[in-house]
Amino acid sequence: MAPKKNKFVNDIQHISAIDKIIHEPARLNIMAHLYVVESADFLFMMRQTGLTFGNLSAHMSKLENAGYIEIIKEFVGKKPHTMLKLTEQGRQAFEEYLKKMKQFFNDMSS
Amino acid sequence: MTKKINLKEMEKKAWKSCFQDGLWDIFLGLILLSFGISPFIEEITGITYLISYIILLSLGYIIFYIGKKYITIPRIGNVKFGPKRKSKKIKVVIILAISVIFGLAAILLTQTDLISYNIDISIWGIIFAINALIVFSLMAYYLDFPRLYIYSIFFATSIFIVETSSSHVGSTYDTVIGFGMFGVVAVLVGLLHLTRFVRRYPLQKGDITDGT
Repeated sequence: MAPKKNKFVNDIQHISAIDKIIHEPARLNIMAHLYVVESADFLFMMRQTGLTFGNLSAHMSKLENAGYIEIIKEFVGKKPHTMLKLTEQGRQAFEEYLKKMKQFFNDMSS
Repeated sequence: MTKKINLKEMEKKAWKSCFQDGLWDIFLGLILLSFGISPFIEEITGITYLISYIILLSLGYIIFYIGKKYITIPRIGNVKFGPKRKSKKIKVVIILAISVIFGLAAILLTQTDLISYNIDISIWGIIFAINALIVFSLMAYYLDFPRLYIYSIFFATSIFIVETSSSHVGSTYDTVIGFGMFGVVAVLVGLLHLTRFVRRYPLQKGDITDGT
């Protein structure tokens, strides 16, 4: 029984090492969408993720506090415009998250 | 976590969302229409067809620009894509530039009588039709915009119709039939997509472009 127990401990270790900030479904959705583009504004993110303004705003704040996204304020004409972008740290964290999740599911199925 | 995350599909969906407003269809339709009705305008008003071309093409571009600015972006927002898409856009610009240079060179060569246009008029038709097919197909491929494949056929068929119908209907009505018919179809397709787009994405209340 020892190897099975070891495997279980290993699996638990893998899942506990998963980034909980990214693991939340709405934030994962945001991270994935920002990962595939260079930057996007609030409205584009709302349309793509299907999140409401309040929800998106709250999750964005958490991701910004974690250092995963950068909020770029710029002016388009005379109007303020906010673009959202993954930071390098955010990009690496997302890649690491994907790697760990793949590893976890591979371990589960074997 | 039951839904598999497909990053490529996600990027493609985000990219394609920029083409669902129908403005490209309207723009291309107006290009075809300008080819179609400019000789007709010349015949009834006396305004040189080149001026009509420029006015109608400018009108198409203005509609495209204003549409993107005041209809599309306020409804789906703004996005900048990664280096792969940027390099594909550059390729499209190069393809278009080569095509324009080819067209201008052909006009110059025939205007200066270095190549006779009248002897093998149908050969020029075939060359321009093939050029349109290649250019629009490459654009469709690089821009991930399948409707452009259909428009490549529209452009090529238009040229073919003009070449084959001019002896029957004359050199003004051949363009009206050849280019005008497909131009109207493309504009209608664009308007249909635009209507759907406006219904699907109503304007958001308040200004949320700055995230406040």
